[in-house]
Amino acid sequence: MKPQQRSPITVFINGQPYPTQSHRLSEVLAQHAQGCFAVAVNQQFIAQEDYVNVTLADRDHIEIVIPMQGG
Amino acid sequence: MNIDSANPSHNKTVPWTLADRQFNSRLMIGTAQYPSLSIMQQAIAASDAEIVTVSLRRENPTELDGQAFWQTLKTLNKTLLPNTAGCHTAKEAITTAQMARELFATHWIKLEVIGNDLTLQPDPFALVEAAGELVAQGFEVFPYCTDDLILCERLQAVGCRILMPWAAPIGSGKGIINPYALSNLRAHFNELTLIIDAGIGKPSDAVKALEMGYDGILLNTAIAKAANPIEMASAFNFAVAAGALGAKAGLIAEQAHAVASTPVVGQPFWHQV
Repeated sequence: MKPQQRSPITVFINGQPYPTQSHRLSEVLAQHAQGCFAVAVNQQFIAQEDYVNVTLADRDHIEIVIPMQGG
Repeated sequence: MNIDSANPSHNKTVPWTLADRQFNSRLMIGTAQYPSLSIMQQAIAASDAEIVTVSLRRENPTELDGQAFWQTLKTLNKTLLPNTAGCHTAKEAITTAQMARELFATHWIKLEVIGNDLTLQPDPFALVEAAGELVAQGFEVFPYCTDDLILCERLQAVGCRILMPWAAPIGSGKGIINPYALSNLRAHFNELTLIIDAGIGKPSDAVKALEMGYDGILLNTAIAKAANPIEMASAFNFAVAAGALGAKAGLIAEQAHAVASTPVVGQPFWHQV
């Protein structure tokens, strides 16, 4: 059986456009995030355990943040 | 002079309770703007601070600064207080707080919702909105606020047990520009934990705040941007300890006129003139 072809989408990762065949958040993060990070999609926080459950749509905005110095 | 007695970490601190936890140092210190991570580490050590503030920013895969900072931070073994710096709406601040909770494994959040980029003054309406929602979600909210008494009342009403009024705008180093308002806050909210956040420029500003009865000081720029951040961290360490001990010891009431300190009874030539 031929695997189902997914339509390409463009998501924005930290403001930058990124064309992808992956519609699952966990798959996109595997390619773009490393180490210690947290994620929001369209300004909604996504808990780590939910990455695998989030299906992305065209033009979704993904924020990937890491620890940084702060005052 | 006994060397040990000169070190605030040796029995000269006035322990306090912050959000149900016990601490010795009343100095909370930021981690930004240091010349290097090494100097940051040494300054934090010199400050004796037990709580450090941190933030979060977009990951940039071409720069590894953030992950290096994170590795350094873990070696410090300090209590972390993440902030929502840079947020301009309640929605942004709430989402940032949720990300910080996961990232730093803490429900403490220093809530900043900026309303004006010139003064970095908090937006009081968005601040109260965000504070109420975050308290409902189980956060311990440390709201960065102005010295406006009504705003502080609203923050208390939505569940804040800690208030962090500014002494002056962030990074200005102006010190306590409105001691009247801050004294009023201290008198009015005698059950809340009050921490001066922002605007402290000199160690003497910190002494004054503690003498006014404030529970602690949170600062960053005054140490990080000093010519010698490590020495300045030590200076603030002493200042905060001195201020807290002075307040605990009980300050004398100010008098309108001179009051002789040396007894006059038995003074030579007394009443001969």
